[in-house]
Amino acid sequence: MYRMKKQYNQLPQVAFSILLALSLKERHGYEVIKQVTDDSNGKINLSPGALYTSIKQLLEQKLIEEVKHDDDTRRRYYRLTKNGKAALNAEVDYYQNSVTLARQRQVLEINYASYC
Amino acid sequence: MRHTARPKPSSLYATLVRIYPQSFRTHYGTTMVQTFDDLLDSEATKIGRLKVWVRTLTDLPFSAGKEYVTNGKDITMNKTIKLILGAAVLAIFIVGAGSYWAGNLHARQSIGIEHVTASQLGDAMQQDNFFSSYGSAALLFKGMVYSIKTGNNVTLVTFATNRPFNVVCQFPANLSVKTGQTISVIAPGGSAERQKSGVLLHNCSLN
Repeated sequence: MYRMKKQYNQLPQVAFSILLALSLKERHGYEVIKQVTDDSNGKINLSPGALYTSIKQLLEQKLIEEVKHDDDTRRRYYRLTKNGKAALNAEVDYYQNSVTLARQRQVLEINYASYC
Repeated sequence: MRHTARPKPSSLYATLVRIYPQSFRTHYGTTMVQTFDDLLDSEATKIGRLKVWVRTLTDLPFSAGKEYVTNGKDITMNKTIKLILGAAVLAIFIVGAGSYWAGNLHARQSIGIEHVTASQLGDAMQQDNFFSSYGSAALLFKGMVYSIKTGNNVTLVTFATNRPFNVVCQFPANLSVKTGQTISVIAPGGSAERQKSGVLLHNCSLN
């Protein structure tokens, strides 16, 4: 029980969004921000500070790695590591399970107004 | 006509990036400025560029603060929260202890508690300045029990002094103290009575 809790607390929303943005291809900072904004329908707009503090943690956890691009030395590119893919899969599995449960319990059809 | 070059917006951001810890700045400073430049360039309107500025500036203290808290260590979100909570609990404890100490001090000053020795009380009575010095104070002193007398539901405890005057305390109930024991007593100064052999303090209680 504790292990499950710890595992799902490991990825904050921003970190999850960054991993998801990097799941398609390697990207530099600006591309990650744009992809995260698109993926969240404009709900998550990262600033460079928020992006790179999260990127730093993801690098330290070895969930992403830096990639050299000789044609663009001004920008740093990042891609998922094997661990990063595994963490993303585990997180997606968790969300998928949650969505299935929510559908079974008809969470979206609950009329909260009747409780007020 | 004199032309001055307008500074690039990113140069202002490059200055602001100095708020981050040096180790973080060394690794990510340049690339953060580049990303900020890319974000500004991608916005076609002034409103869009203003939004980028607002978003970046509002986040700046939070992300810089987070970086100072983690201090470059691999620390998960949970640990950060624990660290912040720990600091908050410590701050509450320090403030609480400070308030208790200040309140205690204030209470003592308000009701005029005087820390004295049994010898001081004897001297004051002998020199006829007992009531002017201690008449309106609560007297708090420690002393060694020299003798005990019990009767009529009162206990008279005599304290040893190195003066010719003794200090005798009258407790309103039987007291389980022994000769030679050192006890701490509180007594109203106004209740003192001059006796041949020294000072008699009424309504004493153990502190």
